[in-house]
Amino acid sequence: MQILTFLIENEPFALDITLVDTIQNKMPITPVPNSKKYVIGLISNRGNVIPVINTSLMLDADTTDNIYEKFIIINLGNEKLALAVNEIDDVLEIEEKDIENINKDEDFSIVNINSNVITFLTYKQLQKI
Amino acid sequence: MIKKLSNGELDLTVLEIKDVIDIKLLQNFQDNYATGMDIASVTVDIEGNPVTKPSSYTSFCMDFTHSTKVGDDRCALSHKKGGEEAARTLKPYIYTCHAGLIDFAAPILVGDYQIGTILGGQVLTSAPNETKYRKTASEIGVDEDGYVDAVKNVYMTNEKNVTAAAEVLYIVANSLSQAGYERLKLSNMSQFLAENFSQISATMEELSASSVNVTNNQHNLSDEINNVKKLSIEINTILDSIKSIADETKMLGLNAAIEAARAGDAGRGFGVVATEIRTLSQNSKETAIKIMDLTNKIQESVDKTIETSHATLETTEQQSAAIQEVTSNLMEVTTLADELNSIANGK
Repeated sequence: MQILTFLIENEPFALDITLVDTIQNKMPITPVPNSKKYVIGLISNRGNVIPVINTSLMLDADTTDNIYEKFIIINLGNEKLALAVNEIDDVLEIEEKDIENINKDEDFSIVNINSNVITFLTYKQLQKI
Repeated sequence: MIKKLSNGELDLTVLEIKDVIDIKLLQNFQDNYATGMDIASVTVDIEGNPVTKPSSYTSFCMDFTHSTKVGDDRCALSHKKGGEEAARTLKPYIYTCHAGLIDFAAPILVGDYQIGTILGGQVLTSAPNETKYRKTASEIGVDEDGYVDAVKNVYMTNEKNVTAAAEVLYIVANSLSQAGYERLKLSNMSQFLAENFSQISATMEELSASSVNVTNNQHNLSDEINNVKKLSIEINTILDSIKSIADETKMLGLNAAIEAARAGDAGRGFGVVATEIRTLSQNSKETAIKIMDLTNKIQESVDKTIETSHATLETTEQQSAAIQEVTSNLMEVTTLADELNSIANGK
Protein backbone atom coordinates (compact mmCIF):
# COMPACT_ATOMS: atom_id res chain seq x y z
CA MET A 1 0.00 0.00 0.00
CA GLN A 2 1.00 3.60 -0.44
CA ILE A 3 1.05 6.22 2.24
CA LEU A 4 1.37 9.99 2.16
CA THR A 5 3.78 11.37 4.79
CA PHE A 6 3.65 14.94 6.12
CA LEU A 7 4.77 17.11 9.05
CA ILE A 8 2.72 18.75 11.77
CA GLU A 9 4.72 20.82 14.24
CA ASN A 10 7.82 19.01 12.93
CA GLU A 11 6.29 15.62 13.89
CA PRO A 12 5.97 13.04 11.09
CA PHE A 13 2.50 11.72 10.25
CA ALA A 14 1.16 9.43 7.54
CA LEU A 15 -2.15 8.32 6.10
CA ASP A 16 -3.40 5.89 3.48
CA ILE A 17 -3.03 7.52 0.09
CA THR A 18 -6.40 6.18 -1.11
CA LEU A 19 -8.07 8.47 1.46
CA VAL A 20 -6.41 11.50 -0.13
CA ASP A 21 -8.35 13.47 -2.72
CA THR A 22 -5.64 16.07 -3.46
CA ILE A 23 -3.00 18.22 -1.84
CA GLN A 24 -2.58 21.93 -2.37
CA ASN A 25 -0.87 25.08 -1.20
CA LYS A 26 -2.50 27.17 1.51
CA MET A 27 -5.31 29.44 0.42
CA PRO A 28 -7.53 32.01 2.14
CA ILE A 29 -9.68 30.46 4.87
CA THR A 30 -13.11 31.85 5.65
CA PRO A 31 -13.66 31.72 9.44
CA VAL A 32 -16.83 30.08 10.72
CA PRO A 33 -18.48 31.60 13.84
CA ASN A 34 -19.47 29.27 16.68
CA SER A 35 -17.77 26.30 15.08
CA LYS A 36 -15.86 23.54 16.86
CA LYS A 37 -12.49 24.51 18.26
CA TYR A 38 -10.47 22.43 15.78
CA VAL A 39 -12.26 23.86 12.75
CA ILE A 40 -10.26 26.85 11.53
CA GLY A 41 -12.72 27.80 8.80
CA LEU A 42 -13.87 26.91 5.33
CA ILE A 43 -12.19 26.75 1.94
CA SER A 44 -13.59 26.31 -1.52
CA ASN A 45 -12.06 23.49 -3.57
CA ARG A 46 -13.20 22.26 -6.99
CA GLY A 47 -16.73 23.55 -6.30
CA ASN A 48 -16.90 21.98 -2.81
CA VAL A 49 -16.94 23.89 0.44
CA ILE A 50 -14.60 22.07 2.82
CA PRO A 51 -13.90 22.61 6.54
CA VAL A 52 -10.24 23.08 7.49
CA ILE A 53 -9.02 21.12 10.51
CA ASN A 54 -6.35 22.41 12.90
CA THR A 55 -4.23 19.26 13.02
CA SER A 56 -2.03 20.44 15.85
CA LEU A 57 -4.87 19.51 18.17
CA MET A 58 -4.09 15.90 17.32
CA LEU A 59 -0.80 16.46 19.13
CA ASP A 60 -2.56 18.22 22.00
CA ALA A 61 -0.36 21.16 21.17
CA ASP A 62 -1.77 24.39 22.49
CA THR A 63 -0.99 26.43 19.42
CA THR A 64 -3.48 28.64 17.68
CA ASP A 65 -1.33 30.62 15.26
CA ASN A 66 0.47 27.82 13.46
CA ILE A 67 1.94 28.48 10.08
CA TYR A 68 0.03 26.01 7.96
CA GLU A 69 1.56 25.89 4.52
CA LYS A 70 -0.27 22.99 2.86
CA PHE A 71 -3.74 21.43 2.87
CA ILE A 72 -4.38 17.70 2.48
CA ILE A 73 -7.95 17.21 1.29
CA ILE A 74 -9.25 13.78 2.27
CA ASN A 75 -12.41 11.81 1.48
CA LEU A 76 -14.35 10.50 4.47
CA GLY A 77 -17.30 8.69 2.90
CA ASN A 78 -19.20 11.45 1.15
CA GLU A 79 -17.54 14.19 3.15
CA LYS A 80 -14.35 16.04 2.39
CA LEU A 81 -12.02 17.48 5.02
CA ALA A 82 -8.91 19.68 4.65
CA LEU A 83 -6.06 18.91 7.06
CA ALA A 84 -3.84 21.98 7.54
CA VAL A 85 -0.20 20.79 7.85
CA ASN A 86 3.25 22.35 7.85
CA GLU A 87 4.82 20.32 5.10
CA ILE A 88 3.99 17.46 2.73
CA ASP A 89 6.88 15.02 2.74
CA ASP A 90 6.54 12.11 0.33
CA VAL A 91 4.57 9.20 -1.04
CA LEU A 92 5.94 5.88 0.24
CA GLU A 93 5.28 2.21 -0.49
CA ILE A 94 4.85 0.10 2.68
CA GLU A 95 3.60 -3.35 3.69
CA GLU A 96 0.30 -3.35 5.54
CA LYS A 97 1.89 -5.49 8.27
CA ASP A 98 4.23 -2.64 9.09
CA ILE A 99 1.34 -0.75 10.60
CA GLU A 100 1.09 -1.45 14.34
CA ASN A 101 -1.95 -0.70 16.41
CA ILE A 102 -0.51 0.21 19.77
CA ASN A 103 -3.72 1.28 21.51
CA LYS A 104 -6.84 -0.57 20.49
CA ASP A 105 -9.24 1.76 22.32
CA GLU A 106 -7.93 4.91 20.75
CA ASP A 107 -7.29 3.18 17.43
CA PHE A 108 -3.86 4.78 17.55
CA SER A 109 -1.34 3.35 15.06
CA ILE A 110 2.27 3.80 14.10
CA VAL A 111 4.28 2.76 11.12
CA ASN A 112 7.96 1.98 11.24
CA ILE A 113 9.86 3.03 8.15
CA ASN A 114 13.64 2.65 8.09
CA SER A 115 13.61 2.82 11.90
CA ASN A 116 11.67 6.11 11.83
CA VAL A 117 8.46 5.90 13.77
CA ILE A 118 5.60 7.76 12.10
CA THR A 119 2.14 8.28 13.52
CA PHE A 120 -0.32 6.64 11.17
CA LEU A 121 -3.79 8.20 11.03
CA THR A 122 -6.40 5.52 10.32
CA TYR A 123 -9.82 5.95 8.73
CA LYS A 124 -11.48 5.32 12.11
CA GLN A 125 -9.40 7.95 13.82
CA LEU A 126 -10.15 10.46 11.11
CA GLN A 127 -13.86 9.74 11.35
CA LYS A 128 -13.80 10.89 14.98
CA ILE A 129 -12.96 14.41 13.91
CA MET B 1 82.51 82.29 -26.61
CA ILE B 2 80.27 80.95 -23.85
CA LYS B 3 79.99 77.19 -24.23
CA LYS B 4 78.83 74.57 -21.77
CA LEU B 5 80.54 71.24 -21.24
CA SER B 6 78.49 68.04 -21.10
CA ASN B 7 78.55 68.23 -17.29
CA GLY B 8 76.84 71.64 -17.46
CA GLU B 9 79.94 73.62 -16.45
CA LEU B 10 81.44 76.43 -18.53
CA ASP B 11 84.15 75.55 -21.07
CA LEU B 12 87.07 77.78 -20.01
CA THR B 13 89.11 76.93 -23.12
CA VAL B 14 86.77 78.87 -25.39
CA LEU B 15 85.96 81.68 -22.94
CA GLU B 16 86.93 85.14 -24.27
CA ILE B 17 87.62 88.41 -22.48
CA LYS B 18 84.46 90.02 -23.81
CA ASP B 19 82.43 87.17 -22.23
CA VAL B 20 83.49 88.13 -18.72
CA ILE B 21 84.52 91.81 -18.95
CA ASP B 22 82.56 94.70 -20.42
CA ILE B 23 85.08 95.91 -23.08
CA LYS B 24 83.75 99.49 -22.90
CA LEU B 25 84.37 99.57 -19.16
CA LEU B 26 87.83 98.05 -19.64
CA GLN B 27 88.69 100.58 -22.34
CA ASN B 28 87.51 103.42 -20.13
CA PHE B 29 89.56 102.17 -17.20
CA GLN B 30 92.62 101.50 -19.39
CA ASP B 31 92.50 104.98 -21.00
CA ASN B 32 92.18 106.77 -17.66
CA TYR B 33 94.80 104.59 -16.05
CA ALA B 34 97.23 105.19 -18.91
CA THR B 35 96.70 108.94 -18.83
CA GLY B 36 96.99 109.10 -15.04
CA MET B 37 100.08 106.90 -14.76
CA ASP B 38 101.70 108.05 -18.00
CA ILE B 39 102.02 104.40 -18.93
CA ALA B 40 100.79 102.99 -22.24
CA SER B 41 98.47 100.01 -22.18
CA VAL B 42 96.55 97.59 -24.41
CA THR B 43 94.61 94.38 -23.80
CA VAL B 44 95.05 91.37 -26.05
CA ASP B 45 93.27 88.02 -26.21
CA ILE B 46 94.95 84.65 -25.83
CA GLU B 47 96.00 84.73 -29.50
CA GLY B 48 97.65 88.15 -29.02
CA ASN B 49 95.00 90.09 -30.95
CA PRO B 50 94.07 93.46 -29.37
CA VAL B 51 90.59 93.64 -27.85
CA THR B 52 90.97 97.29 -26.77
CA LYS B 53 92.37 100.32 -28.52
CA PRO B 54 95.89 101.21 -27.38
CA SER B 55 95.91 103.82 -24.60
CA SER B 56 98.55 106.58 -24.43
CA TYR B 57 101.00 104.95 -26.84
CA THR B 58 104.25 106.94 -27.02
CA SER B 59 105.33 108.67 -30.18
CA PHE B 60 108.53 106.59 -29.93
CA CYS B 61 106.52 103.41 -30.38
CA MET B 62 103.62 104.62 -32.59
CA ASP B 63 105.48 106.91 -34.96
CA PHE B 64 108.87 105.19 -35.14
CA THR B 65 109.23 101.60 -33.86
CA HIS B 66 105.89 100.32 -35.24
CA SER B 67 106.24 102.34 -38.45
CA THR B 68 108.40 99.75 -40.25
CA LYS B 69 107.74 96.08 -40.76
CA VAL B 70 110.99 95.06 -39.06
CA GLY B 71 110.13 97.20 -36.02
CA ASP B 72 106.59 95.98 -35.86
CA ASP B 73 107.73 92.33 -36.07
CA ARG B 74 110.31 92.86 -33.34
CA CYS B 75 107.63 94.44 -31.12
CA ALA B 76 105.30 91.51 -31.76
CA LEU B 77 108.05 89.02 -30.84
CA SER B 78 108.87 90.98 -27.73
CA HIS B 79 105.22 91.12 -26.66
CA LYS B 80 104.87 87.42 -27.31
CA LYS B 81 107.84 86.59 -25.09
CA GLY B 82 106.51 88.82 -22.29
CA GLY B 83 103.03 87.36 -22.64
CA GLU B 84 104.36 83.80 -22.58
CA GLU B 85 106.37 84.45 -19.45
CA ALA B 86 103.34 86.02 -17.76
CA ALA B 87 101.24 83.04 -18.84
CA ARG B 88 103.82 80.62 -17.47
CA THR B 89 104.02 82.30 -14.05
CA LEU B 90 100.41 83.57 -14.02
CA LYS B 91 101.84 86.76 -12.52
CA PRO B 92 102.74 90.18 -13.94
CA TYR B 93 106.07 90.04 -15.74
CA ILE B 94 108.31 93.09 -16.22
CA TYR B 95 110.87 93.08 -19.01
CA THR B 96 112.89 95.32 -21.35
CA CYS B 97 111.60 95.36 -24.93
CA HIS B 98 113.75 94.91 -28.02
CA ALA B 99 113.96 98.72 -28.38
CA GLY B 100 115.07 99.20 -24.76
CA LEU B 101 111.85 100.42 -23.11
CA ILE B 102 110.43 98.85 -19.94
CA ASP B 103 107.24 96.83 -20.61
CA PHE B 104 105.14 94.47 -18.58
CA ALA B 105 102.59 91.76 -19.26
CA ALA B 106 99.90 90.72 -16.80
CA PRO B 107 97.77 87.62 -17.42
CA ILE B 108 93.98 87.90 -17.30
CA LEU B 109 92.74 84.74 -15.62
CA VAL B 110 89.51 82.95 -14.92
CA GLY B 111 90.33 80.53 -12.16
CA ASP B 112 93.77 79.30 -13.21
CA TYR B 113 93.04 79.58 -16.88
CA GLN B 114 94.39 82.49 -18.97
CA ILE B 115 91.96 84.15 -21.35
CA GLY B 116 94.10 87.14 -22.31
CA THR B 117 96.92 89.48 -21.39
CA ILE B 118 97.02 93.14 -20.43
CA LEU B 119 100.18 94.77 -21.73
CA GLY B 120 101.66 98.07 -20.60
CA GLY B 121 104.79 100.10 -20.20
CA GLN B 122 106.69 102.10 -22.83
CA VAL B 123 108.59 103.85 -20.04
CA LEU B 124 112.21 104.15 -18.99
CA THR B 125 113.75 103.57 -15.57
CA SER B 126 117.14 105.05 -16.50
CA ALA B 127 118.43 107.64 -18.99
CA PRO B 128 118.58 106.29 -22.56
CA ASN B 129 121.93 105.38 -24.13
CA GLU B 130 121.89 107.40 -27.39
CA THR B 131 124.32 105.14 -29.28
CA LYS B 132 122.22 102.10 -28.63
CA TYR B 133 119.05 103.81 -29.98
CA ARG B 134 120.82 105.01 -33.09
CA LYS B 135 121.86 101.38 -33.72
CA THR B 136 118.26 100.17 -33.25
CA ALA B 137 116.97 102.96 -35.51
CA SER B 138 119.30 101.90 -38.31
CA GLU B 139 118.37 98.22 -37.77
CA ILE B 140 114.65 98.82 -38.08
CA GLY B 141 115.06 101.53 -40.71
CA VAL B 142 113.85 104.78 -39.10
CA ASP B 143 115.35 108.26 -38.83
CA GLU B 144 118.11 108.06 -36.20
CA ASP B 145 117.84 111.68 -35.00
CA GLY B 146 114.06 111.57 -34.76
CA TYR B 147 114.28 108.22 -32.90
CA VAL B 148 116.74 109.66 -30.37
CA ASP B 149 114.51 112.76 -29.91
CA ALA B 150 111.48 110.54 -29.39
CA VAL B 151 113.15 108.36 -26.78
CA LYS B 152 114.06 111.49 -24.83
CA ASN B 153 110.31 112.22 -24.57
CA VAL B 154 109.59 108.78 -23.08
CA TYR B 155 108.33 109.03 -19.51
CA MET B 156 111.03 108.33 -16.96
CA THR B 157 110.08 106.57 -13.79
CA ASN B 158 111.59 104.05 -11.41
CA GLU B 159 111.27 100.28 -11.28
CA LYS B 160 109.20 100.37 -8.12
CA ASN B 161 106.55 102.48 -9.86
CA VAL B 162 106.50 100.19 -12.88
CA THR B 163 106.04 97.15 -10.65
CA ALA B 164 103.19 98.89 -8.80
CA ALA B 165 101.59 100.00 -12.08
CA ALA B 166 101.76 96.44 -13.44
CA GLU B 167 100.28 95.13 -10.20
CA VAL B 168 97.40 97.61 -10.39
CA LEU B 169 96.52 96.56 -13.93
CA TYR B 170 96.83 92.92 -12.95
CA ILE B 171 94.63 93.30 -9.88
CA VAL B 172 91.92 95.35 -11.57
CA ALA B 173 91.76 93.31 -14.79
CA ASN B 174 91.65 90.06 -12.84
CA SER B 175 89.04 91.37 -10.40
CA LEU B 176 86.91 92.30 -13.39
CA SER B 177 87.45 88.95 -15.08
CA GLN B 178 86.87 87.00 -11.86
CA ALA B 179 83.67 88.92 -11.12
CA GLY B 180 82.53 88.43 -14.70
CA TYR B 181 83.33 84.75 -14.50
CA GLU B 182 81.39 84.37 -11.23
CA ARG B 183 78.43 86.19 -12.81
CA LEU B 184 78.61 83.80 -15.77
CA LYS B 185 78.72 80.79 -13.47
CA LEU B 186 75.77 82.15 -11.53
CA SER B 187 73.87 82.77 -14.72
CA ASN B 188 74.73 79.31 -15.94
CA MET B 189 73.59 77.71 -12.70
CA SER B 190 70.40 79.71 -12.47
CA GLN B 191 69.59 78.78 -16.04
CA PHE B 192 70.24 75.15 -15.24
CA LEU B 193 68.05 75.50 -12.14
CA ALA B 194 65.23 77.17 -14.07
CA GLU B 195 65.36 74.53 -16.80
CA ASN B 196 65.31 71.69 -14.30
CA PHE B 197 62.46 73.20 -12.36
CA SER B 198 60.48 73.63 -15.56
CA GLN B 199 61.07 69.99 -16.33
CA ILE B 200 60.10 68.88 -12.82
CA SER B 201 57.04 71.08 -13.05
CA ALA B 202 56.03 69.48 -16.34
CA THR B 203 56.60 65.99 -14.93
CA MET B 204 54.57 66.83 -11.84
CA GLU B 205 51.73 68.06 -14.03
CA GLU B 206 51.80 64.75 -15.90
CA LEU B 207 51.83 62.93 -12.59
CA SER B 208 48.94 65.05 -11.37
CA ALA B 209 46.95 64.28 -14.52
CA SER B 210 47.65 60.57 -14.24
CA SER B 211 46.72 60.55 -10.56
CA VAL B 212 43.36 62.05 -11.53
CA ASN B 213 43.07 59.18 -14.04
CA VAL B 214 43.81 56.65 -11.33
CA THR B 215 41.15 58.17 -9.10
CA ASN B 216 38.62 58.15 -11.95
CA ASN B 217 39.46 54.54 -12.81
CA GLN B 218 39.07 53.59 -9.17
CA HIS B 219 35.64 55.28 -9.16
CA ASN B 220 34.67 53.29 -12.26
CA LEU B 221 35.96 50.11 -10.65
CA SER B 222 33.84 50.77 -7.53
CA ASP B 223 30.77 51.34 -9.72
CA GLU B 224 31.41 48.12 -11.63
CA ILE B 225 31.85 46.17 -8.41
CA ASN B 226 28.55 47.58 -7.13
CA ASN B 227 26.97 46.43 -10.40
CA VAL B 228 28.30 42.91 -9.79
CA LYS B 229 26.69 42.98 -6.36
CA LYS B 230 23.35 44.11 -7.79
CA LEU B 231 23.54 41.36 -10.41
CA SER B 232 24.27 38.68 -7.81
CA ILE B 233 21.28 39.92 -5.79
CA GLU B 234 19.16 39.59 -8.94
CA ILE B 235 20.47 36.06 -9.43
CA ASN B 236 19.32 35.25 -5.88
CA THR B 237 15.87 36.59 -6.70
CA ILE B 238 15.76 34.33 -9.75
CA LEU B 239 16.96 31.41 -7.62
CA ASP B 240 14.11 32.10 -5.18
CA SER B 241 11.64 31.71 -8.00
CA ILE B 242 13.42 28.54 -9.19
CA LYS B 243 13.05 27.18 -5.64
CA SER B 244 9.36 27.99 -5.58
CA ILE B 245 8.95 26.38 -9.03
CA ALA B 246 10.69 23.29 -7.62
CA ASP B 247 8.21 23.34 -4.68
CA GLU B 248 5.28 23.59 -7.10
CA THR B 249 6.72 20.73 -9.14
CA LYS B 250 6.97 18.63 -6.00
CA MET B 251 3.30 19.34 -5.23
CA LEU B 252 2.44 18.41 -8.80
CA GLY B 253 4.42 15.17 -8.49
CA LEU B 254 2.72 14.32 -5.19
CA ASN B 255 -0.72 14.97 -6.63
CA ALA B 256 0.22 12.83 -9.63
CA ALA B 257 1.22 10.05 -7.23
CA ILE B 258 -2.14 10.39 -5.42
CA GLU B 259 -4.04 10.18 -8.74
CA ALA B 260 -1.92 7.20 -9.80
CA ALA B 261 -2.70 5.41 -6.53
CA ARG B 262 -6.42 6.06 -7.05
CA ALA B 263 -6.17 4.49 -10.50
CA GLY B 264 -4.83 1.29 -8.92
CA ASP B 265 -2.85 -1.08 -11.15
CA ALA B 266 -3.62 1.00 -14.25
CA GLY B 267 -1.84 3.96 -12.62
CA ARG B 268 1.32 2.07 -11.69
CA GLY B 269 3.39 3.38 -14.64
CA PHE B 270 2.11 6.88 -14.00
CA GLY B 271 3.17 6.48 -10.38
CA VAL B 272 6.76 5.87 -11.52
CA VAL B 273 6.64 9.07 -13.59
CA ALA B 274 5.25 10.91 -10.58
CA THR B 275 8.19 9.69 -8.46
CA GLU B 276 10.63 10.90 -11.12
CA ILE B 277 8.94 14.30 -11.14
CA ARG B 278 9.43 14.52 -7.36
CA THR B 279 13.10 13.49 -7.67
CA LEU B 280 13.61 16.08 -10.40
CA SER B 281 12.03 18.82 -8.29
CA GLN B 282 14.23 17.80 -5.37
CA ASN B 283 17.34 18.00 -7.58
CA SER B 284 16.30 21.41 -8.92
CA LYS B 285 15.83 22.67 -5.41
CA GLU B 286 19.22 21.37 -4.26
CA THR B 287 20.95 22.89 -7.28
CA ALA B 288 19.27 26.23 -6.64
CA ILE B 289 20.44 26.11 -3.01
CA LYS B 290 24.03 25.34 -4.12
CA ILE B 291 23.97 28.26 -6.57
CA MET B 292 22.59 30.48 -3.85
CA ASP B 293 25.48 29.48 -1.57
CA LEU B 294 27.87 30.47 -4.36
CA THR B 295 26.19 33.81 -5.04
CA ASN B 296 26.27 34.51 -1.30
CA LYS B 297 30.01 33.84 -1.35
CA ILE B 298 30.31 36.14 -4.38
CA GLN B 299 28.48 38.84 -2.42
CA GLU B 300 30.81 38.40 0.54
CA SER B 301 33.83 38.73 -1.78
CA VAL B 302 32.27 41.73 -3.47
CA ASP B 303 31.64 43.35 -0.08
CA LYS B 304 35.29 42.86 0.84
CA THR B 305 36.36 44.19 -2.56
CA ILE B 306 34.15 47.25 -2.10
CA GLU B 307 35.74 47.87 1.28
CA THR B 308 39.24 47.61 -0.22
CA SER B 309 38.22 49.74 -3.16
CA HIS B 310 36.93 52.45 -0.80
CA ALA B 311 40.25 52.41 1.06
CA THR B 312 42.16 52.57 -2.22
CA LEU B 313 39.97 55.40 -3.43
CA GLU B 314 40.65 57.32 -0.24
CA THR B 315 44.39 56.77 -0.65
CA THR B 316 44.44 57.77 -4.31
CA GLU B 317 42.41 60.88 -3.51
CA GLN B 318 44.89 61.78 -0.79
CA GLN B 319 47.73 61.19 -3.24
CA SER B 320 46.03 63.37 -5.81
CA ALA B 321 45.67 66.16 -3.27
CA ALA B 322 49.30 65.83 -2.17
CA ILE B 323 50.51 65.92 -5.76
CA GLN B 324 48.46 69.03 -6.42
CA GLU B 325 49.93 70.67 -3.35
CA VAL B 326 53.47 69.77 -4.45
CA THR B 327 52.69 71.02 -7.95
CA SER B 328 51.53 74.38 -6.68
CA ASN B 329 54.58 74.70 -4.39
CA LEU B 330 56.77 73.72 -7.30
CA MET B 331 55.18 76.40 -9.47
CA GLU B 332 56.18 79.02 -6.92
CA VAL B 333 59.74 77.68 -6.80
CA THR B 334 59.87 77.54 -10.60
CA THR B 335 58.79 81.16 -10.77
CA LEU B 336 61.54 82.03 -8.29
CA ALA B 337 64.11 80.13 -10.35
CA ASP B 338 62.95 81.95 -13.49
CA GLU B 339 63.26 85.31 -11.73
CA LEU B 340 66.73 84.36 -10.49
CA ASN B 341 67.67 83.40 -14.02
CA SER B 342 66.38 86.74 -15.36
CA ILE B 343 68.38 88.65 -12.75
CA ALA B 344 71.55 86.61 -13.32
CA ASN B 345 71.32 87.03 -17.07
CA GLY B 346 70.59 90.75 -16.72
CA LYS B 347 67.39 90.48 -18.70
